Amino acid sequence: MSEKLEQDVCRAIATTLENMAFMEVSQEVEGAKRYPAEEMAVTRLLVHDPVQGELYLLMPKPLLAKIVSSVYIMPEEELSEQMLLDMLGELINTVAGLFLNAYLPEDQTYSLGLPEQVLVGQEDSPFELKRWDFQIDNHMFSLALAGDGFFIAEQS
Amino acid sequence: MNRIVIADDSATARMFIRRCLEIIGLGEATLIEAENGREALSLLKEEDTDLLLTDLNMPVMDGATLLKWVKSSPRLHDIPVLVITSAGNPAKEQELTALGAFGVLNKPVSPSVLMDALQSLMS
Repeated sequence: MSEKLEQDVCRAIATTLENMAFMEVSQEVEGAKRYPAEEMAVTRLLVHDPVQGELYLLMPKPLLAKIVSSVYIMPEEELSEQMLLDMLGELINTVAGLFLNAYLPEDQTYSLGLPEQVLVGQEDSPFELKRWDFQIDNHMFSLALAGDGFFIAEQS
Repeated sequence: MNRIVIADDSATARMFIRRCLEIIGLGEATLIEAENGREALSLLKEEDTDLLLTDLNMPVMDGATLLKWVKSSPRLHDIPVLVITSAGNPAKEQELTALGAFGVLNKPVSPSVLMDALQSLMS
């Protein structure tokens, strides 16, 4: 895997969280809190063109609550589950756009699906999958990219 | 501007745009929200609208289809349409401008970027 793919993914995550929630993302996850499956929310976004692939964003609900609370300026206890999931969908949309704009040639259009919530564990894609771990304020979260097209293009 | 329609399937995105509009001084306008292109189209037909801000990827009717409908309607075609999307790049911008959009902004949108776009619309 090239440095560019990795850089573009990491930059997309950092820019999204910084611009939307004013939160600093770190790739240093040693010692960060890992959450059990029941406390995680996962969303998937399909990339239809020019390569077929999937992006997954896996976030602990306590971290999502912090993000939504900071964006909506609302106490965490007043937030609904739907607000958390909607934020997760908006985050993955923005990450995907920033990543694909950086990764693909400038004149290349692309087509994305709609974010869909999936069960924890369903991120085991039939495609080749690469997962990156990050943390914000000691809460660990992950982004996974699946799709042979991304990695075949990298190898050729 | 008196009436602005915001079309996005994400409540979070609509809230972001609403907040940007308030920050740049358009909070006094009537801001109407739609969850997809079809709903936005109905709202546009209900009352005169000064601006349509739309996402691209939406269920039921996407933003590009909404843009085509608006620009092909004798009643609606003068409404300026600004696309706010996570899937924007120069090639997409060219495609949407050819369909009649006056601009394409990438998410996450900021008040200053939105203000620049609206100023260029006014001028």
